[in-house]
Amino acid sequence: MRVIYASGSTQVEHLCDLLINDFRQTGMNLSQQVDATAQRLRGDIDVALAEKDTSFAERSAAMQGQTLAEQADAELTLVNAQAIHALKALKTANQDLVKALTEQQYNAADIENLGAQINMLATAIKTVSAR
Amino acid sequence: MAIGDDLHNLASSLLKLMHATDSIQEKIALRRQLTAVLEETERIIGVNIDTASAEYAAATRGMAGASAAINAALEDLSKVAATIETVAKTIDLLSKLAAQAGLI
Repeated sequence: MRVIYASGSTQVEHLCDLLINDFRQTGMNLSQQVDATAQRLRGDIDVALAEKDTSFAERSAAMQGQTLAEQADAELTLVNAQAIHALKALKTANQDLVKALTEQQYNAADIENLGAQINMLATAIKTVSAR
Repeated sequence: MAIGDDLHNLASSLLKLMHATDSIQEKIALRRQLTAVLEETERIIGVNIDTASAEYAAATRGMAGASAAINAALEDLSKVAATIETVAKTIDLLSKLAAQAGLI
């Protein structure tokens, strides 16, 4: 188990870093693309509402779009924060597991702590996968 | 600052300037530039960028200049037209960077 986890832990660490980057709005990946869509929508709404010949129906649709863009932005910010928090917890749990395995110091407190870290890891995975 | 932050800030600043100006022509011009910045961002996403290249240095310098021009225009809306020119030059630099990044 020590040998397997020693090699696997580096990959877990790298995967966590990649996922953290995915959930950063400036991380040049997933979140930035979602954010770009909301920015395009906001730009269109701004022009539509400023145009004098925009009909009432189009203005109404633009206002609804504005609300949707704001909701999407708020949700994205929240999901990103939750995911990054969970992934940082996952990294910590991963590092603690490696330390416990390599130092071979297993007492009751360590095992209890490891259990808590694994629970945290499970919570982190649930949070990320649920999104 | 990473280029992802610079691009995100540039797009956000363009949106702020769009909201600030009352001129429909300026809004439309800025909306086109926002599209261009987001398209160049998409081209740069997921490819390896040579951060030591001349294109990278020029693009990051251009974005800094564009952000400064946008901030100045937000204070004085008579500067929006000149800012659109500055942003256009920056978009050209981003396009060159994206083209170079795609070759790596």
